[in-house]
Amino acid sequence: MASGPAREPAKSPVFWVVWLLLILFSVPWYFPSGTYEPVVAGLPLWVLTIMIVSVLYAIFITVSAHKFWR
Amino acid sequence: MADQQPAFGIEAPIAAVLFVVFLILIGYYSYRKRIGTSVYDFFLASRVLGYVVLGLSLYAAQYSGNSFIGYAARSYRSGFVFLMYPTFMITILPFTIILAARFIPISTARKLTSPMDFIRLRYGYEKKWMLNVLAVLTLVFLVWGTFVQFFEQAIAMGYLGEVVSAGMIPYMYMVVLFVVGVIIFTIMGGFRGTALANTIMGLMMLVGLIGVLILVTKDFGSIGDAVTTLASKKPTLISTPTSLTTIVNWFSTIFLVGAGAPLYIHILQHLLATKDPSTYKRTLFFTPYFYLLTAMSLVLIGVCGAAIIPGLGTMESERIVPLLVVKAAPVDPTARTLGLLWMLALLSATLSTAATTTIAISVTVLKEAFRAFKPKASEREIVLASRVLLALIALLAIPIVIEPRATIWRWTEIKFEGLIQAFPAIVLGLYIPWVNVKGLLSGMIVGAIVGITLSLTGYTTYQGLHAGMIGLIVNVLICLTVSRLTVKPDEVNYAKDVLSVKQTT
Repeated sequence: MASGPAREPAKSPVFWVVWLLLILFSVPWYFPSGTYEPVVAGLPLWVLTIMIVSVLYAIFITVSAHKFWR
Repeated sequence: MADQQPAFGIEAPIAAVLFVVFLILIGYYSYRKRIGTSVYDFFLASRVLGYVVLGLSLYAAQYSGNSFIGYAARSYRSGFVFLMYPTFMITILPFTIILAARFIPISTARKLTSPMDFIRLRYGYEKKWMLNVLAVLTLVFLVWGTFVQFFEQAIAMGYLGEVVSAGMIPYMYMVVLFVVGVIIFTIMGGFRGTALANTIMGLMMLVGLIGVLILVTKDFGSIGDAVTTLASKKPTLISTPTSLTTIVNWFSTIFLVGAGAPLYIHILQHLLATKDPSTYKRTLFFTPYFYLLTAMSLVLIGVCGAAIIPGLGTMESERIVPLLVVKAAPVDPTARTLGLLWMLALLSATLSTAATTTIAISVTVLKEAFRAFKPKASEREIVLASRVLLALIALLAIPIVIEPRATIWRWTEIKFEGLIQAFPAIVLGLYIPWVNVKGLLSGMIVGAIVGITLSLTGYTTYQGLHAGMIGLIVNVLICLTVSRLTVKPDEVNYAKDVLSVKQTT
């Protein structure tokens, strides 16, 4: 257990910026509305994109818990 | 339901009964070994058991019958627009990180045993009667959220039992059976030993769920086939949202659930009893991927369900997951075994969540009541009284659950709209030393009035924003303004002193 000056995620601007960007791009406002085309690998491209952003979001949590929280 | 055959034979009820007996025996064993003789000990188990069990236990607490039954149903109705689900579930984690980074060191250093201990310590500078009002109001919001989480389990079990038995056990009987089961299970001490069993079942549930998804797609066509079918029959289910309102609602839901879910009483209890922040930190090696996989699988199951069994009405679609299991079971023996396994795991997760939520509510409420009326009560008296109260809480759920009036998803929204009003008292209080009781009380009262009034007048959402989110925005703004105007220098010093715990990980 290492003690010392604490680093908290809430105090890191990078944490907040990346977090908000991930939330921003996890919602498909940047795709044309009411369409499912093009379809890639059996899924609409917008669905695939949101899924990829979700995976990045999960990775961000693991990384940030260890990078911004000491 | 009359044209259906039960998905499973006599093996299903036998397996279910044996399984519950097994869980009770674990509870009895832990009771004999004096593990978890007090509620604090029960939650304290996470200190001994380490980060794997803590992580899985938190995962199992966030995913239970309501999500496995109700959220797949929401995907059935909304299609891929419900991809907001993986995002809002993952968003619970950064909010929990922010909470845990301060909450765990403070509760360890100050030996806090209940979320209300934190409220009383953090705002202890204020006059006693005002502090009491704040404690009661915060408790009301926390209890509301946790209570709805409890009765959602009963609704989910009702649907599951009814469909799997092909209507032989009607929904209403299944609900009563479940509630009575929870009471017996909890009073017999069964819940105490289930922390470990629950985590294993959580894992089993994830494996079973992905297995069911694979088998459903194997038996009825791939996800790509479902997309092709829906493209010709109901393209809206696979298309991007058509209105700005849906986009706003998507963001609103992410914040509503993400910020609300860490505030369940039983989740706060987990954090209170965690040894240090690094134990929680380690859980984040795997929990984000569990949350993601589970939510994503349920969305895909719901969307596939819309292609395989189209045309179900709103309330009927709540039964989509068991309907798919029932449809796959006679076709595929592997699906039958996996389906049975998955249902046992679901039973365990639902039962343990129901037991944990009721006990967390009853003990937290009773500790406050005893503090006011009988401060010297022993832990034994509290636990005894809590059994009576938890039976009452469980029975109180029956009239609501018998006629659910809303989908599980709608109940989820209502649950978080109330729960989230406690956010300023707990989270802002951890970070901003000048937030005070006067600010919190005015914010909570006005915020709740705004939220409830909007809901009751038919504005459950306004331009996509949930009534509860509008309430929260009002709540936070008023809280910060009033606090800033009324705070005294001594009050800030007191709060700084309370919050100044050396952070170690």
